[in-house]
Parts: sequence; C-alpha cells; structure tokens
Amino acid sequence: MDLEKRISLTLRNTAETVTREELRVLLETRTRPKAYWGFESSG
Amino acid sequence: MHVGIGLVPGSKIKDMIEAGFEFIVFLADWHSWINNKLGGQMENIRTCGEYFKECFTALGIPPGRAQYLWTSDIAKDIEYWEKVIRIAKTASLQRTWRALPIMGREMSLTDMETAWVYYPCMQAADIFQMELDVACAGMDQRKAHMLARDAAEKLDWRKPVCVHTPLLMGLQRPETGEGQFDEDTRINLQISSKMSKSVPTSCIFVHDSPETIEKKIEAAYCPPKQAIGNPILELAKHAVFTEKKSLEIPRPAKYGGTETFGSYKELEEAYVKGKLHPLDLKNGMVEALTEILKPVREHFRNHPRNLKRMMELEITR
Repeated sequence: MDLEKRISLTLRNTAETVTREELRVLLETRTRPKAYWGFESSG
Repeated sequence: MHVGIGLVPGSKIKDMIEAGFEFIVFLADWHSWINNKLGGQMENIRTCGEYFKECFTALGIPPGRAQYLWTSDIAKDIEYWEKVIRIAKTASLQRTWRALPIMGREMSLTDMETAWVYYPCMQAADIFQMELDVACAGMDQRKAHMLARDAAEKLDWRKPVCVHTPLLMGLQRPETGEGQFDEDTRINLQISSKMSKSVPTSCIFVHDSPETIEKKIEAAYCPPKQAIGNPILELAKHAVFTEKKSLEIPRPAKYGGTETFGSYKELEEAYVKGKLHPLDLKNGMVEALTEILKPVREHFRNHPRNLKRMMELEITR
C-alpha cells in the first residue's frame, strides 16, 4: 500500500492527530509501526 | 460495550491494521480497578475484559489480527513501575490531576483516592513499556497522552504520535456543558454529551437485539433539518459510514421510494434540505446497525457465558 493511502486510512474519521507531520515521518520510515488502544472494563 | 466503543475505535483499529500497523488492544484491568469499575472487583473486571475481547473479535478484530494484552501482563515487570515513578517525577500533581479520567465532579480532598493519581502516570507508562509508536484514544483521553508526550521529552524517550477519535453522542438531547471536563467548550460539550453506559437510554449496545435497537433509535432525539447536535446523524457519520460504503433508506413509493446514500456528506445535505424525514432516516439507521452488529449477536447466541455474566453483574450492582 502506498504512503498516502496509509496516511489517509490512519487519519480518516479522527478528531485530531498530534502531530500529522510525525505520523508522516513514522509511516515513511517504518513498514510495521506499533499502535495501541486502551480500554477500561466497564461493561 | 456500546457502539461508541465497538464501532468508533473498532473501525479505526481496522483502518490502522490495514495501513500496516501492529496493533495492541489493551485491556486495562488495573486502571479499571483504580477507577472503581464493576465494584473495583478484579474478577468482574477480567470477565468484562474477556467480553470486550469477544465483542471486538466478532466485529472483525480477532486475536491474530491484533494482539490482546492486559495491564496485568505488563505490570508484572518491575521496569514498568520504574517508568510510572519516572513519569510521576516529571509532572506536577496539579497537571496529573487534570489528566485524570475521573473528573467532572467537585470533590473535596477527603473524597479523593490517592490511587487515582497513579492512573495518568500508568496510562503514560503503558505507552513506553509496550514501545508504542502511536497511541490511540477518544478525545476525552487526550490530556493523558499530552502528559506522556511531555514526559517523553523530559526523559528523552520516544515521543508517541497520538491519534484521537471523536466521541459519539448519546441518543438523548445533548447537554449544555458546564466546563467541568475540559477548558475547551467544544471538547467539554463532546465529553458531557457522549454515549455513556451510566445513562442507559443514551446507549446502543453492540449485543442489543434488533427489537431493542429499533426501540432505542425510535425514541432518540433527531431534530428535523438539523445536523449539529443530532445524535442519529452523528451515529450515521461515526458508526455506520465507517463500517459501510452506503446507507439505504427504505421508504414507501409514495414518499419517494428507497434511496441509497453513498457518503455521509450526501446524507447530511439531503437531511438538512428537508429531503429526508427524521423517521425515514431512523428506519434506515435501524436496518444498518442491525446488520453491522449481527456478528456480535450471533457470537453471543453461540457463546453466551461472558455476556450472561456481564448482565448479572449489571443487575446486582
């Protein structure tokens, strides 16, 4: 998948990204960066 | 789990996996304990975490596509706690307090638990302990992420990129916020009107039956010709068009017949111009959500154990 497509997939339907420039550099330099989402258990 | 969790983070996680990310779904059992979720009972919290894992799996994020980790898994390591303390040493107590998710109440010092202060520091430490490049969360968690970024700068650790998603509105008429969650009025309104389990009428749960979905959508606030502060349109934008390429509105021929919208923008335009009646929009949304959530219902029909235990916990609470 090309870089622009990876960036637009990551950014779509988001409220903010801190920062977009850092995200671009990350995706330019790494093919498999690591991300997470934490969830509290509340039912 | 309501659709503000199952479908908003759910679709973003799928986007990022597709974009090449190695993704960790982090089940924050210790954080839930600190935040007194489910009576602060670890056994119940673990059950709920298992239920979350099943919901996300049914929604298209099975183990294998993403890694599921618990706080318990990483908290075993003494280095994790060293990071917690190092982060705590970079920030003033006031700063940490502002990053707490347990907010919005005027509390006296005697009612606050000391344990709460650990929460944002642990949230930040999670990011560094798992060596993450990107931290994702809803807008209500942004302050903990900013704390992590500032700590990274001070400690010369790798700064995480932070991706924040909008908060899905509850189904009821939105509240006018009092500035208790965030100084930014816009963010504050989002947080105070978000879909929340503590306001049951505001929620559609991912395991809800088609009849329940229908009943809740029918009763929802949906001002005609208005897009801002309209929970049904918000739901279409953040929970339906993120999962589906189009939304079909079934309508009797005498009212114009069935219509399909290929994007949220088209839908909003038609609605604001009055070309789409709130009742027709609601009917289309009932069908779309019923379809999107079908794999969750099917999963729990075959494996009811953890859902049943969750329901029992709700009743005894």
